[in-house]
Amino acid sequence: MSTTTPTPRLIPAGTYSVDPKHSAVGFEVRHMGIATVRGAFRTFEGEIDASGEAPVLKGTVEVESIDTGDEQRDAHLAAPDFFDAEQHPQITFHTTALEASEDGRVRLAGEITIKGITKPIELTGTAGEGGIDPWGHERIGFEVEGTIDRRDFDLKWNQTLPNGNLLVSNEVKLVVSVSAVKGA
Amino acid sequence: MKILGISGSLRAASYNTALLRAAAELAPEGVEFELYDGLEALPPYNEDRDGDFPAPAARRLREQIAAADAVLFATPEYNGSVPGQLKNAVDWASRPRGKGAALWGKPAAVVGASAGEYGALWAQDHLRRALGIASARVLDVELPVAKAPLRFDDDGVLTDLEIRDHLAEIVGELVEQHARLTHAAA
Repeated sequence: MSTTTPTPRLIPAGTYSVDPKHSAVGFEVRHMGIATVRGAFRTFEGEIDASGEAPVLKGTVEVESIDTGDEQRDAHLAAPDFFDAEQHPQITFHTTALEASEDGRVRLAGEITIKGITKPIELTGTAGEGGIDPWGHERIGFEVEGTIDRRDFDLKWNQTLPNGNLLVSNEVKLVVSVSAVKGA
Repeated sequence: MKILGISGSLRAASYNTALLRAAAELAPEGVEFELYDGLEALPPYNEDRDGDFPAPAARRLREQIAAADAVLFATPEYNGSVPGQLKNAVDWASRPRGKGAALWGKPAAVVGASAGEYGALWAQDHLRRALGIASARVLDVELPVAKAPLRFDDDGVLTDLEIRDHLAEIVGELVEQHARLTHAAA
């Protein structure tokens, strides 16, 4: 059992909605072992419920909103070879532990479901200062990262290069930045 | 349920077309099997002839694939790969990219026959790959019919019992895949 207590200073009690205009759900893969290719899911929603004893974050991502800056590649990524958006239109995530320490570090442990397969995941990073935005809304924010092996989620498509490297790395880094607004 | 068969060979006495005829015969009751016959008339893919008013032969191909619940491809092997005209059909059916494509999420399987030793294995592999990138739901199966002249009789009937069984299995997997998808949607 974790003994870390949620820090009231960072997440004051209440429920928060993830502000999609000031948040991002991104990912990074290595291409041919030489370059980092970045992409993002443009459509997502999320909620942080900090009304109870332990805060819980839940989020949903629309697979078809995948954007890697190349329309043909995005179509292939949404197709059965990869995410199979027709059968599995959403990626979902919820925390089992959301911890923020006094020095601004954040740790999200939870479960992520991709292509119908649920696995544990841990994301770590830093919390923003939070506070009242110019429109009088209370905001909290953080940026976290984590790594998954895409093969765990049946995202197996690949090509071995003549030098033995893989065309697309199996490790995928998730980079999530969240700005959430306290609800009424 | 309806399966569309597309043969990559244009020859009247093609072993691959004969393989699809055998598949039609082996298909379970209730499955309608249609053989696509427009491959030779399909123009080479040209984006200028696509868009709102695609070439009529291409429109027909797209409509036939869209109307089918699954597609079974039979490919010969030319120079170690898929015949140009068959790849061309995949290219037409893959566009417009994404959900609007006739092949989007479409269950598809690939079989192949050749006169040689390997039964068009490379062509099948390349075709599966192209179909996957074209957004189809490609079954992880293959059927290499090697030394084709020995597997068919003079009337083009598939006489090799083992291959007939394997072909029936593949057709059955397409039927199952379709059932799973329609069940999931219900």
